[in-house]
Amino acid sequence: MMTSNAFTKAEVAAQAQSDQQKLGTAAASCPLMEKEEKYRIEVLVVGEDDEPLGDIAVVLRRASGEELKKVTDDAGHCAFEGLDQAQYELSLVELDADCWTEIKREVLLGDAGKSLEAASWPLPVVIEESKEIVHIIKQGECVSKLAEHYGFIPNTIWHYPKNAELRKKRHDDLYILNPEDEVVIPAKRIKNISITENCKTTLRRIGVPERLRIRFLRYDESPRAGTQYLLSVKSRNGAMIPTINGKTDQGGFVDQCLPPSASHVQIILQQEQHLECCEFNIGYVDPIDTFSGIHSRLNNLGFNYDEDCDESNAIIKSFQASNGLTPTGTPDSSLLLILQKKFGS
Amino acid sequence: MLQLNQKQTDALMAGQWQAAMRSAIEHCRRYFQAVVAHLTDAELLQHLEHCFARGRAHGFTSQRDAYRFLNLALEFGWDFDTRIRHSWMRKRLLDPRLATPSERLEWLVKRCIHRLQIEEENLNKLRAFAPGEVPVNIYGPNVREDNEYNPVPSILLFENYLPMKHSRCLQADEFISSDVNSKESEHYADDEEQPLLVKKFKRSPRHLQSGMR
Repeated sequence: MMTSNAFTKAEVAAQAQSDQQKLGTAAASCPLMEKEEKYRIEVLVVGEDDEPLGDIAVVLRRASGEELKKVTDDAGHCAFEGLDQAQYELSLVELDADCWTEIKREVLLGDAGKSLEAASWPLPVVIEESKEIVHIIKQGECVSKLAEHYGFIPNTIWHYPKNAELRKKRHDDLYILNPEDEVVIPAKRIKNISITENCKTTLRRIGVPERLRIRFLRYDESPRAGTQYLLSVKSRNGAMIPTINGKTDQGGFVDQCLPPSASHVQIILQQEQHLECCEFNIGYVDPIDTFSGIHSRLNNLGFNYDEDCDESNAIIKSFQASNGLTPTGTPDSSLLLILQKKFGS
Repeated sequence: MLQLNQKQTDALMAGQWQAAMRSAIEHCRRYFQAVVAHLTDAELLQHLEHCFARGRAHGFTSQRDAYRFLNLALEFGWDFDTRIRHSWMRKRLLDPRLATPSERLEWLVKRCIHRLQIEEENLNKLRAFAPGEVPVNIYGPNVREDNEYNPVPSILLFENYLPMKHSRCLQADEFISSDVNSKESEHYADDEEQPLLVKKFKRSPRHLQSGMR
């Protein structure tokens, strides 16, 4: 694969080619001698951490109902060109009304607000009304991931009345669901904001990013504070995410913002004599009142369960004994309470 | 009055097309030398004509769009828009949220540049964090069979720092292997290209003493 610099140079060379002339012809459209003054509107979409968000659909509608559509680039930016002086409506059509808000608007000064070519307004398309969806949870999914995927704030989905039973069943923990759980996604509400030409608006997407907190302890349970780490993220939607350098805090925590779609994290810790690599599947811990939920928590706490050896009883006894409980080998409410407290969820 | 008959018009068009192809060949040799070095001009011309025809099928008729599509083909493979491995790129070329083919292509090119930059930065951060270490036998985490987003882990074969197309970090899923899912597998390939994964490696005291990098 080329370096990005090499590909960028090739792209610059491509941009020097004509966008009017067809390949292999000498003909081109006659440029208009006089053009009416046109304007532009710029849009920037950011998350709650003020980092830009790409791949967000933005629609600009004029009074006659026709629409222009754009998608933000990885800098969170898109622009509508060739606009007349008029009042328009702007919307993030893939996001629920509560999920975004305008945080800033500024006038574009001088030529920054001007545009050359007139916009081409396609005929309006009839859009189907948004409907409720029932989503069946797969392993690795949680409400936060669903919210990012469907365009909601997690709490909008979680507190939807039709999810009341699920909330009760899962102890009101929207991050820990079981495969085959059914989550009702409400119908999306569309919001529009009024906007005029020659300005730039900044919109904030609420509910993104999420926060990852993983604590590293020594065998004596003292925190591994001040340890350098390198954190790499893989996202379930395939987005490329920058690797993060950091240091664990006083409590031994790695505490980082991640997109909700993060599915796998790799953390390399720098020790004196070696590098230690840990990998985590995000969102794969099952509810604590399930067999798999108990064992995944015990695993993470160092009580490693091997399915092939069927040491379930022994592992549970070991955990009970080391936490002052009677080593029965059977999960009970006392064990679940301590396990939840030590694991954190 | 100047009058041209059909033969003259055809000859003129053919001449213009040949000139355009010569420019395209120069572009390939200048910016993607490592990719096309082994091709003769005739072979390269065949690839170009096929590539431009596919670009036209996507709606890329202007010179600029044709060259942008060509750049993507040279970077990701001549048939990148048909390969399952790059299905995410094909989806972007057909994205209904953008009105025109040019807009879709521009969005895709910007996304590819962004991804390449991040990939490079990530690799540089890893090298800076772990200098002198060469990952040899790398596996991802245990995965569950029913998870379409986490396919069978990829084995890193070797790493080549040279900026040549076929000499990047090759991963075993690029070869047919009975140990990993076929690269044509829908479950695996319906995912964007994955970053480098490192399982575990240790630095021996000998390396620390010699300061090897």
